Parts: sequence; C-alpha cells; structure tokens
Amino acid sequence: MKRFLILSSILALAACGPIRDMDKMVHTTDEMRDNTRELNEGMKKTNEAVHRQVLVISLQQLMAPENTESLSSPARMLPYANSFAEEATPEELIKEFHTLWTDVIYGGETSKVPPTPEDVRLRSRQVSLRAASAIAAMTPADKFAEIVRNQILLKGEFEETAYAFALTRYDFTREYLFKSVVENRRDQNVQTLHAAVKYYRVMKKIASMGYADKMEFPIPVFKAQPEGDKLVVVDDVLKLNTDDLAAKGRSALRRFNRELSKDVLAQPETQRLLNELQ
Amino acid sequence: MKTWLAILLVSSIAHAASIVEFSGTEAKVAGVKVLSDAKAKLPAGEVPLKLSGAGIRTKTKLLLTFNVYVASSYVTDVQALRRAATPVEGVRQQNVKVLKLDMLRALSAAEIRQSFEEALELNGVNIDAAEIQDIFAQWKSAVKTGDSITMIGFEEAKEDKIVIEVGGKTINSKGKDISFDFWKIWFGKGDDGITSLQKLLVGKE
Repeated sequence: MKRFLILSSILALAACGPIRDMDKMVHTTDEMRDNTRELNEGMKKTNEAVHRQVLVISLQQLMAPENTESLSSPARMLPYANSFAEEATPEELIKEFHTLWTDVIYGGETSKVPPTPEDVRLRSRQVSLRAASAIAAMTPADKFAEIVRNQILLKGEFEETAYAFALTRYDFTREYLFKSVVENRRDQNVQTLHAAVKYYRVMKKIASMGYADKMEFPIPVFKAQPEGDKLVVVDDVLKLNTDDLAAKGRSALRRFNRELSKDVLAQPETQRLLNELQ
Repeated sequence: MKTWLAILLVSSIAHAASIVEFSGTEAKVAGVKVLSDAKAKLPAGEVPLKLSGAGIRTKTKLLLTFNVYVASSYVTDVQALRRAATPVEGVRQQNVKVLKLDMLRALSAAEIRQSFEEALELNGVNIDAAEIQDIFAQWKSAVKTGDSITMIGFEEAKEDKIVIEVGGKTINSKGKDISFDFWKIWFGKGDDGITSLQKLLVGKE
C-alpha cells in the first residue's frame, strides 16, 4: 500500500509539469485565436475602408467638372464609371444609380414658368444622367444579371430603377461603347471584333428582355428649346428603342468583313464572332 | 516662296475644281452662311438652282441633342419639290440637285460611311450594289468642323450620276437611281433629327 502511495505521488508530481505546459498551451491558443479574430476584424475593416474609398473616389472623379466637360463624348468619365462598377456590389450599384436617377427625374423642380435651363439645373442633371448611364453600361454582366434577378424578377425595392438601369445600359452601350469600336477606330482586328461582339451581346440581351413597355420614362423639364429670344426647358421622354439594333449589327459585320485580313477571316473563331453580329 | 506659290496654286486648282458655285442673298443658319442660289457646271452646260431650304442636322444621344451639320438643298424646281405628295417624289422630279453639308462637328470616314449605310438600308436601298460600294470605296476623307461636303445629282447620257466633293477630293459614281437613292438619306425615312431637317429642306410651310 505504502509503495502504491509513493508511486502515485511520484506520478502525480511528474504529471504536474505537462499539465502546466498544457494550461500554458491552451492559454496561448486562446490568445492566438483572439489575436486572429482581432486581426481578421481589422482586415475586414481595412478592406471595407478600401472598398468605400474606391467607390467614393470613383464617384467623385466620375462627377468632377474636369471629367464632365464634354457630355457629347464622355470619354473621361469612363475610367471612373468602370472602377465604380467593378468595385461595387450589385446592391451598391442599383442604390447609387437610384440616387443619380432620382436627381435626373426630380432634381429640376421649380416654380418658374417657363423655366430656363438654370432654373432646373439642366446641365447638372445631364451630368447625373451620363454618370448613371456610364455606371450601368460598365457594370459586369454577372452583376447586371443579379440586379435583374433581385430587382425585376424577385420584385425588389428598386424594381422601377432597374428598368431605367437596363434602358440606360442599352443606350450608353449603343451610343458610346459599341460606336467607339465599330465607327471610331481607324483599324480593326480580332480584338476590336471581340469588343464589338461583347457590346453587341449587351444590347441584344436587353432587347430580348421583354420589358420594353416598362423602359419608358417621362423626364420633366429636361429638353432645352428656343422660345422667342430665350431658351426654355420642356419635358422629354427616355424610352427603349431597339429598331436599329439589327442594322447596327449588319453595319459592323460589313466593316469587319471588309477590313479584317483573309487569314483572320478564315479562322473559325472569327466566323463564330461575326455570326453574332448577324 | 516657291512652296507658298505651289500651295496657292494647288488650293486654287482644288477650289476651281468644284462644279458648283453658290451666290445670291445670304442667310445664316447656326452661324453658317447659306446662299440663295447655286449654279452647277455640268458637261451639258450650266444649270441654275434655287435654295429650297436649309437646316441643322441634329443627333440625340441619351436626351442630349448635338448639332452635326447645316444642310442646304438646291433644286431646279422648288415648287415641284414642295407640291409633291412626298419629299422623295419631289426629289424624283428634279433634273439637277445639290446638297451642301457644312460640318458643325468632326466625323471620321468610318462614321460617315456607317451613318450613310444605315440610312440607305433604312430606305430600302441595296447597299451592296456596285455603284454604292464604289462611292464608299472612294470616300477616304474624314471631315472636321468648318469643312463642307457638296453633293451633285444629275442625269448624264441617260444615266443617273452623283458627284461628291469632300476634303478637296471628288468622288464620282453612276448607275440606276444612284443620286436619287442617296438623296433618300435626307428626303426619305430617318430618325427624329432627319424628320425635322427634312421639313426645312423642302421648305414647306
């Protein structure tokens, strides 16, 4: 019995060391877990801050006077519309679009009759429309699909705005992006054909959506016209018009057929792309 | 000095090469001088023409309207143009017709071609026809603000002929209804900008 007690005591004493070590280890692991959590939270906050910073800077630059001088050819707005659209989530995209769209529709309220362009902030609202349209056009296809699913198919909070998003995406793509490749480039090659087809797909997708009746928006006091010796502003309407889509495709097809080399034209991939413009 | 003389000579030759002379009373459209008369110097002789109307070609992109050019139309019989049931029929009745476009913005040759091709196609013209493709094959010039394009349509040896003066170059083509088809761009079907301009070119009240 005595021997057993002595042996147990020795064993107990011997075990004290590892137990202390284990306690220490558990403590260290807890500490590491806390530190990792803190680090993750810190990183999350940093990522969020960077995310917000990209959005804010993109938006500021998109609307900056030096980048919105020319609205007929808004090339300088494009990099910032692109960085905003690439960085933003579909929810952020539709919310920001909604803010700009609200300014376009309601930002011209005035009691002046008849109103002048200055009375209705015409230039500033035109910038809002260009910025909103550029963001919509630059939105990647997967994010646009999510906006359509969440807002149109599932009847989201911004359903009506989503129709405006699709409409302006179509118009901006047709007037600036597709045109810049098909009409404004001096030389054509396979890469410009890829770009033209990408933009043509965007337009075809919206044209086939079947919501044309929803894509018509009266826009109060948005059109300047002369009245006597002064300029006054009247209502306008923005609506989806896809009548010339096929003609635009054929026109682009003719140019690529005319200007791509025979070797390039003979490649199956080129023919596949050209067929998309039919 | 020699270089200057050469430039002067070349520019005077280029100027003299125009087969249309404008004269008469002056009006201003968007700051562009539009004269009331024109004279086409054709192989068969000089043909006097009268201004039927002038106006601005506008384009609207995302509710912003831009001026593209000032168009002025000259015809041999203004009344016939105005009396006709449609502007296109009125154009058909003209022996000689001139259309002058004074550019208010720059356009590349490709932009002009695309826009003309789309308008011709909209009016049912076969743009793959050899005489149409012949015009585009010759058209290499871009235009800048202040430049002008002058088009002359007339019949020669029982063939419809079109002459286009652009960027110091002269484009010629002939074939069935070639100039008539080209005039459809402005007098046939078109977008809102063309519809508004058409009324001004016909000059109907």
